[in-house]
Amino acid sequence: MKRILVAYTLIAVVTGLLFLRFTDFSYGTTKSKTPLHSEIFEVGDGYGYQILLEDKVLIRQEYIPILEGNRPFATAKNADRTANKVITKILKKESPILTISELKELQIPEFNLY
Amino acid sequence: MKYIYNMKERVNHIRMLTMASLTLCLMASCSSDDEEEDLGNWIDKSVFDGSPRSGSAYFTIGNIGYSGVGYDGDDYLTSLWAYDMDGDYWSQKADFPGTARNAAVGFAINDKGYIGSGYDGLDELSDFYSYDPSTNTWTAIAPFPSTPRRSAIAFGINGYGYFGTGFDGDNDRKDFWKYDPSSDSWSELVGFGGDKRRAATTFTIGDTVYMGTGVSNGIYLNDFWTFDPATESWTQKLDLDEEDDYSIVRSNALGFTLNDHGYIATGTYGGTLQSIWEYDPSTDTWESKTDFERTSRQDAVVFSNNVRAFIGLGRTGSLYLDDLEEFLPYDEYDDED
Repeated sequence: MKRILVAYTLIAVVTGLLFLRFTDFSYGTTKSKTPLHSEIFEVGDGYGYQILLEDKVLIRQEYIPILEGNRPFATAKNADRTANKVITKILKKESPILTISELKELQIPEFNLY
Repeated sequence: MKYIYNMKERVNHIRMLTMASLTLCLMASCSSDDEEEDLGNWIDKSVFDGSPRSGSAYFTIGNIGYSGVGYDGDDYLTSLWAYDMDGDYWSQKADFPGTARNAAVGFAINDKGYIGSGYDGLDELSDFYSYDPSTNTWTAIAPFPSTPRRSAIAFGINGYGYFGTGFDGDNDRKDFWKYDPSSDSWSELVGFGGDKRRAATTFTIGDTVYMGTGVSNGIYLNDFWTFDPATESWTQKLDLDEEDDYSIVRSNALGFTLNDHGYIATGTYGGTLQSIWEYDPSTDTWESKTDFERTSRQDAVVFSNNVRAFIGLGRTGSLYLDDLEEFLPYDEYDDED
């Protein structure tokens, strides 16, 4: 009888798990309040950024956008300010495309010439 | 009872277990039915809202798709975005150095991308630029020497660029030109027997370029051509309405190649389309695939390297779109991925 009980319990558990899978039920995971975030990383002698939605990379920027050449940000702070601007824009449902005037406003020194 | 129970009971339990297993199997495979449906699946790769644009120029180099310029409903654009197929993420690259525009052409010759011609809201354009992905730099190349135009077609093959057809502001065109990057010069080709048109499309299978669709004076064209770059000659194939059940004729569509088959997708024929047709070069025949699963559209972009293909952006009416989907031509359709 024990064996039979074990067998039915197993079936119940498997069926339950399948049900959860098919209904996309997720338990125990509380979604972070700001799932959209950035990460700063080193590249060459400078810095780049990634924009992530939870753990999915949406934008990876090894080099300063708009500018010609493969030039990383000079400081981690510059990369961070730019990444935050992109996040703000995405949250406002604006295009994540950065413009020269926005990068000037962020005081990214490479744009002082423009 | 302990371990001792009779045979009958055991048989009952086996029957119950079998039934339960069968039920589980049915649950797991309930989506496979045997209806005669078109093959092809679409996987959602959209990552952010808010980057809508249509009429962008695009080209693919290796596993990176590039989409530059375009129109978002308010402004003509100069930005260039790169989509990494392996990493499934985007990067903003060096801005296009020419006037902001849409309806430009994009093509690749070897490891460089090219964008040129188009429309800036006032005039048709004839300037061209090359983009080097390794240095992330743009260089102005020799401008197109004939009539400026938009909604032309262009392709790169065997180290040369080819550019032709389009709309010059007054008339549709049927001339074709060749760009030689080694001498930075343009020369006119003769011998295209098709009619003038705008918003046509091409795809390349091996060493052969296929060209068709497009519109002129409100008439959608049904002829279909191959271009042999070795002899620079055009040959007409079966019409795009050869079979009664073909509905390939359209304009502002996408052409691309995947696993040595050609595809014509989306576009407009009276209204915007979701349909996609697969071309088999060995039989000169077409087969319908699973419709694009997002909004029907025209002036979209496609990134394809013969191994993978991604379709997105574009517009439907005055609604500009910002999504991207991967096309898997031999998978069964699943609307949940």
